[in-house]
Amino acid sequence: MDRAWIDGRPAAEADALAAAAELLERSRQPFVGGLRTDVSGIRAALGLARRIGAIVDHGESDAIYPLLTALRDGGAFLGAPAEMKRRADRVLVLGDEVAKVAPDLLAMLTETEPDLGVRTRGDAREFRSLCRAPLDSAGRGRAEHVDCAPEDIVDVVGLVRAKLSGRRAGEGAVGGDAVAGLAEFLKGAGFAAVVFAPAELGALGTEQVFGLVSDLNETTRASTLPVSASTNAMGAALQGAWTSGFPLRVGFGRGAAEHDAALFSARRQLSGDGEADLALIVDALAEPGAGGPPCALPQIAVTSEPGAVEGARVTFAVGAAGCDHDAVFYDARFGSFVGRPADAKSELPTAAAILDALADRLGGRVADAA
Amino acid sequence: MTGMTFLKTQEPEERLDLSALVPARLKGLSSAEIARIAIGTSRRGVVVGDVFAVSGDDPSVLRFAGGSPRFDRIGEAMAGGEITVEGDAGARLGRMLKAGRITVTGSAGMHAGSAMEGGVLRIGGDAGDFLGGPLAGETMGLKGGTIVVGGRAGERAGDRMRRGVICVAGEAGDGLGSRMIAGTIVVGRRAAGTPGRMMKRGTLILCGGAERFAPTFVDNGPADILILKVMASAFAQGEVGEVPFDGAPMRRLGGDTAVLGLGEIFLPL
Repeated sequence: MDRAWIDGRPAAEADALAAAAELLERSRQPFVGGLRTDVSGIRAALGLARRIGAIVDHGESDAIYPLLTALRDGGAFLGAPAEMKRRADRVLVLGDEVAKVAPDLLAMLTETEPDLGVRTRGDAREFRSLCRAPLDSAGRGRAEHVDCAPEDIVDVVGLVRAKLSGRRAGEGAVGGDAVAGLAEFLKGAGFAAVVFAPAELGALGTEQVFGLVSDLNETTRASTLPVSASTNAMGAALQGAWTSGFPLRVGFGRGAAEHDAALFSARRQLSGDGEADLALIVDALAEPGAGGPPCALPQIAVTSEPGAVEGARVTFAVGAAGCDHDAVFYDARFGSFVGRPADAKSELPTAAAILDALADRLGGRVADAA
Repeated sequence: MTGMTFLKTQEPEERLDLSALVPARLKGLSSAEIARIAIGTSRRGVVVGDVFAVSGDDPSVLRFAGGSPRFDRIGEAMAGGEITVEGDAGARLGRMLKAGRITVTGSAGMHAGSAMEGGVLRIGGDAGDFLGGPLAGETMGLKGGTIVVGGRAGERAGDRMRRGVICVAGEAGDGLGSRMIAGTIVVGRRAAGTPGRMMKRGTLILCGGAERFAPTFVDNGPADILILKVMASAFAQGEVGEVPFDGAPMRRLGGDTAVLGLGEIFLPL
């Protein structure tokens, strides 16, 4: 079975490593992206990037940046799903993306009842949804739906904030009674959980939701459960933060990590409008991704699906993390990193092994050149 | 003594960090020392001499003859003096400017005038997103000084602005004055999206109106108030120059009541 290709033709792994190392060495500004891999793969990718002065981003970071931006600008009450399941007596679902992105989370909340907290335990959980499609089921609990277009949700959240604090406001898209109803629903909760997809509401909208929950905590308890289409990108951002100080979108051109959420984004760099002239893309997960931005640059592919890669200068077949080899991933349910044993051990190398081998080949020469 | 000129000799292939080319840092350096200043942002180690031919001997007056959207961080934290860019500027133009004057004849990238504290920043063409705004995680955008833009401004101009004046002759992108804390923004043409989202205080004078307003802005009706005339006259006599309002009555909105709600937006009647 072939495991490496140069310009589409099968090659020995050592030759492919030499060819890829030469491309990276000659590159004026390499980009290391994709990053659909496990913790050890991302560690290796960041290590290689630091060594060769690359720009780094995850292919799906657009899905998490609205959350990251709001979080670091204003902070947030963030709940762990497992705790919300036991404490939240009232759940507000904002937007239609939640049901698409996190159906398991909704099912977990609708199929259980709170059993912690003097004010919350024992009662059936109540739900409100502010979006287009009502919830499929609320289990034993009661659900009410407020029909709202996606572009009006942030305004309505603002109206609820104004209502809760007694400030004047206009009518808005859903009417004053619906706003008053939402405000009462949240204010009367023992512990409210607000579930939403930051990518649907944008960074400012996300900050509005965090602001609402912060306001609620003046008088009662409330927290948020932001959901994302890419938990893998969230894990990579956390790992980027503990490795380089920044949640990806970093450049190592001058050695130390530098961060710019716009200039160093994968979308900009891979479009060819950025500074990068070569892309190393890691795509080594068994489950399909949300799809990263299109790549207009010459590419080195480190992938568990070599058949799906077209036009790469060098391609390495690697195992899918958590499927062909044991792996550790970020898991949003726990808000932490969790091990996943392989389904069956494979002969294929890990993405980390290929990336480390490239870094070893480049280390001395790149250091000499700098 | 003549001002110092940085003549662009080639278009840069990478982004350049020009924050070292400010009067205080150049003072006392020989032309050979200036040519060796590192400005590259890749592992190639680009220096001033690779991109510019430098002439003149007075570092308090700097001129970039030829600009580029990759000329980043021009005039960063400058505390006095004058910089002129004949052409475009990249990201973070005049960031944290304390005093002095920066003039760009072309357009500027993102975060122009970011967290500026004083001085005057003039952009002849368009400004990118987050004009005067903070970088990620910073709590304040523009803290003082004056920014004048001849063209249009990108998204989120005046984000988290605390003090000072921004005047945009053209249109403003989505999210103008978002999270504003205080200060004044004047826009000549239409503002896109919902300006003033989550503004606590501050004043937006939108002479070309706006796409729409969040319902957490309350219409106070026509306002025939002296301060508009005083402001128009003070702007005309100061650094901002002529503004597209003259003290005639304007419609006043108060908001954003999702937060403190002490901001105000003025519109033509």
